[in-house]
Amino acid sequence: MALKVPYDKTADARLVKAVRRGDTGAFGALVEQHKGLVFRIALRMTGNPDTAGDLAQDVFVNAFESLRRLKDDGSFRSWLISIAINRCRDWHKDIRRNVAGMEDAGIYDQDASLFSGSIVNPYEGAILAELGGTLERALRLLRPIYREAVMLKDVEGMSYEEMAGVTGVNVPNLKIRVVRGRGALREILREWKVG
Amino acid sequence: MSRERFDELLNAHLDGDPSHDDELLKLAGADRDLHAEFQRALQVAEGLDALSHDEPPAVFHAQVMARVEAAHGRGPAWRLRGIFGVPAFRFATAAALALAVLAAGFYLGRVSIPRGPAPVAHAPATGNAAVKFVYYAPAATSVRLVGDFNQWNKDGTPLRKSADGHWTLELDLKPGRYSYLFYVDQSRWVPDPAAAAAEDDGYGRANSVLEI
Repeated sequence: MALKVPYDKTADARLVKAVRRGDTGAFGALVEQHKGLVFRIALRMTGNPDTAGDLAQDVFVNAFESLRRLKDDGSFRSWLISIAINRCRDWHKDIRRNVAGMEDAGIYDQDASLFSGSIVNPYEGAILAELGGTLERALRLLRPIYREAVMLKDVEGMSYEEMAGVTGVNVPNLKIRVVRGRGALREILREWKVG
Repeated sequence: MSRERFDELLNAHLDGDPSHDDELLKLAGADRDLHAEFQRALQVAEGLDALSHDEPPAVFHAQVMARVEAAHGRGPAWRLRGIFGVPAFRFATAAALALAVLAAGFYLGRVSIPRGPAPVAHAPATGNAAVKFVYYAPAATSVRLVGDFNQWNKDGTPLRKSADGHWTLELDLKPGRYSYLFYVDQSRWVPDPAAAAAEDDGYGRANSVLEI
């Protein structure tokens, strides 16, 4: 697995301080630095590039408007990720409420319980046709809690400790979710006879 | 038992811990199914890693900054926003406090006028003022000054970028009142954070205002 390039906390802290002084240009630099990460989180959790773009924009505007809540300027990235995670979770909750006739059988449950003995989300199979890329499609089949864990660990290369900080889930549970998510992806690929 | 051990070692490897790779390879090599599982795991890891290169569309930055700058300039001029840790309070309180501070400051000689494009020098013969505009945007590729100075021509007057990410421009201006904005990367309009005053342009956006 490729090593992820560690980011510069002190550069972010300088920019955050400049934003607090009223420099929106400095916030532009923060957007430039983290736009890929935020967009990818939204893309993996929604499966739709247009929706992901809208949610990612919301994340940055939210971050700008609530910057006073950030206690440690050097933790801007982790704080931004937690905003993104929560925004995506809210989006999923909205989807759940808006789908008429869909049984509220825990498809988007926030705990680690499995749905119908499987960690694959059968509802989301219906929208697979929109997506390109084998892994992208396989990832989309996972229930959000497993998809979120695998995305943060294996796509973005975060440590379990940082994941715990941004998701609110403890490290042991995160490890379980990652292991199950990885196993489910391998199972999906095996069923699709890929590799 | 070896399946459980294999799973444990496989996930340790995928988590970036190579300390048991020898044992992992030994287990995978001794069993066809485990070998296939191992290969599949590597394929998944490689595929997931490739997803880390996805980027948003090119207009994303401009769209975000347009919303951010609208949020920054939004609201009646008399109400301070709570964006930067300053509690919002009403005009009367703000005005009273400002007057008190200015009065005390003038008395003590210590307070400074709110920061804006500072006149660098006056030219006695013409009565003009030399004004320096400064805008911090290390990631920008172009910044232009657009406003009453140049009839709001979008080609504007370019600022010059220094190594530390500041863009600057000096103009010689007649006394008067000028509205202006920075036009950044030929895609977004940005009020001057250093401007002492702002006005609604009638389209929901705040123009910066300079009085000489």
